[in-house]
Amino acid sequence: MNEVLLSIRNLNATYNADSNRSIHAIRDLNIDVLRGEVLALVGESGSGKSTMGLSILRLIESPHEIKGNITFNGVDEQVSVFDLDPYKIREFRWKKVAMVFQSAMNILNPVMRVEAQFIDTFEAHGIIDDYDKRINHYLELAGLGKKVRRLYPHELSGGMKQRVNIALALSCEPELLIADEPTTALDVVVQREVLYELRRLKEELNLTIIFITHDLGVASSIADRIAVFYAGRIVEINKKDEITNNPMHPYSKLLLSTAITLKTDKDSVLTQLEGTPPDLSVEIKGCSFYPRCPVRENACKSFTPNDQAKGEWVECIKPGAMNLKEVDNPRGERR
Amino acid sequence: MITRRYLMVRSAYAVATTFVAIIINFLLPRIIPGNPAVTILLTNFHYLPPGKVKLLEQEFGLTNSSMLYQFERYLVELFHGNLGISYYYYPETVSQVIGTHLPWTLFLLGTSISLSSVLGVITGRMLGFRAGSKTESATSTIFIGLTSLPFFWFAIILILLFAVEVPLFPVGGVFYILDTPGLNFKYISSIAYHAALPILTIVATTFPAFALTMRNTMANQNKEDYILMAKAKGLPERIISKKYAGRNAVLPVATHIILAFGYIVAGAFFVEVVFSYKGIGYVLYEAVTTKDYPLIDGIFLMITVTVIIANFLADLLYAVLDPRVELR
Repeated sequence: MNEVLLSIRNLNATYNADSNRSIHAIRDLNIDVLRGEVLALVGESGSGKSTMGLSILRLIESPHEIKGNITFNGVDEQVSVFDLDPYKIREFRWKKVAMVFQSAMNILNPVMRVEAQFIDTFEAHGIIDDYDKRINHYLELAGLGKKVRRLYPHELSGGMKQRVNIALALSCEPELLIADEPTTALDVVVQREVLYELRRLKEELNLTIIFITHDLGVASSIADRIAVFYAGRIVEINKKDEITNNPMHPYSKLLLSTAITLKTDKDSVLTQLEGTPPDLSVEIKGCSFYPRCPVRENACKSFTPNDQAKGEWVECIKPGAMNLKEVDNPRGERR
Repeated sequence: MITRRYLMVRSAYAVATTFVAIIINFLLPRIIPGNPAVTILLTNFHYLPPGKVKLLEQEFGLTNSSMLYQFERYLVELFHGNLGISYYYYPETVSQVIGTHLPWTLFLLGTSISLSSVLGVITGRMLGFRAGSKTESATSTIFIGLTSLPFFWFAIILILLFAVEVPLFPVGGVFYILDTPGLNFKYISSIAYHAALPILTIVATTFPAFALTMRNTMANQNKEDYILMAKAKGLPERIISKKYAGRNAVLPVATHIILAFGYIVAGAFFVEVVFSYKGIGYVLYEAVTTKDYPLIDGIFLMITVTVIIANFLADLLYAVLDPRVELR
């Protein structure tokens, strides 16, 4: 359980929008993903969660840049993702690490039947027999009937498409599954089904899952550990219960307090996060959350995060210092 | 998906369009000033024998008959499959004239457009996949230049270079007059030899347009989510370019190509005239200059019907290529 499956060191991802503007979506990120866990990446849009997912598959292509080191300790071999040659990376993708993408609507090729999109994947990875059996098996795993095989993507509902994506992602038996907001486009009923399905498949197939979401409620229902992203870095990472019950970073705390759950009692404070995330095209000195932090002090400006990668950590000068009740939040509402 | 109802409505439209086209075809040559009887006499006798003009006009039914009466006769004969007698090729009938020259045009244009669409789609796919690179921008610029060249000018330049200065190819014609038509190697190679420059002209001036359309739709494919997905799935670049990006990008280009095939019977007018290639385009040129009404009518009618059918087929084929299209 504690074996490290994927370790990311000093990951930097830069999107070069044009010659004079580049956005540093990920800044010196370090993290270990443990075999068999569900790790949820939580954060606002643009905080770098999806970029981390794409980086693992090396899908960030020129003119954009990725630097750093990603090591994947597969069952049979250890590979350094950024050193793979074009042929090896093609083999690595899907066979070792597969991904369920966010935009379920356009992720399937509109002019190919569902089964054909399985078959080309099999062919690309040297699986040459039992196509029928395999396709039926994975469709069934994802909770779909055999009839779906012969359909075109536009004949499927949103939930069905997402299930096809899950089935496709599992079809080459990857060790790591990256689920990038797989439930965002779905209604709550289907959302629950998909989450349940993922959790079940994880147990059944002994998968490791990186689950990317901006919804803390969804994250806490599926994850073992939660990593909170802010401005291209993980500001806090801990076991699910620790994060949800006792967040240490002011940002995690505020993020949690913006969510309503069925357990939210009428006395709890619902807040709105003031301000906007920092501009990632300029260099950030000190704590990135400083401008928005309710408990900031001068020392925060010169705070340099230490490069932790293992276990649990908080990137804050005085973790746990903030008490929500004390926060003077003019927009805060009492329920 | 194509419903039976769609087929019926669409066919009805096609028939209606054809009828309107027949009316216009009938009227157009009659609006052109001039007198065919005079033209025929002048070509045959180089002067106007007294009384002959009236005689010929009567023979062709051009006198003492109103436009409406002429149109009625035209329709009746048309439905009997009779397109009339050519003035210029007298006494050959229009159907016979078309019958002798159409195969050449079909051969010339069929070969050229097939070559140019295959070439266009393939080069366009390569350009689109590498959109933004230096080789790509250079090639695209050359292609824009090529599409802007007029057919006939390009044809004249080719004749000058490869038939006059360096006599590799014949200046014109369809085959050597001395060859005996038939399935012998000499005859067939003679046809290919004569068709080389005209085919080159048409291919070189049409395929860049297909390629550029394909390039543009292909370049936009890189932004599509299913392309990212295909990369993530670890598919080889060849498959992504062909089955994912190419297959989707070809949809708008396909319409373009089928419509081009619709003009296959019209012939490449200028190319045929410049190369004296006796196809339909060349015959049409003769018919117009000699005011051969029946022949003009016949050729125009054939072109119209083929274009209407090609449009119809383009719609149907699009529904076959793109499963999302529903024709109701």
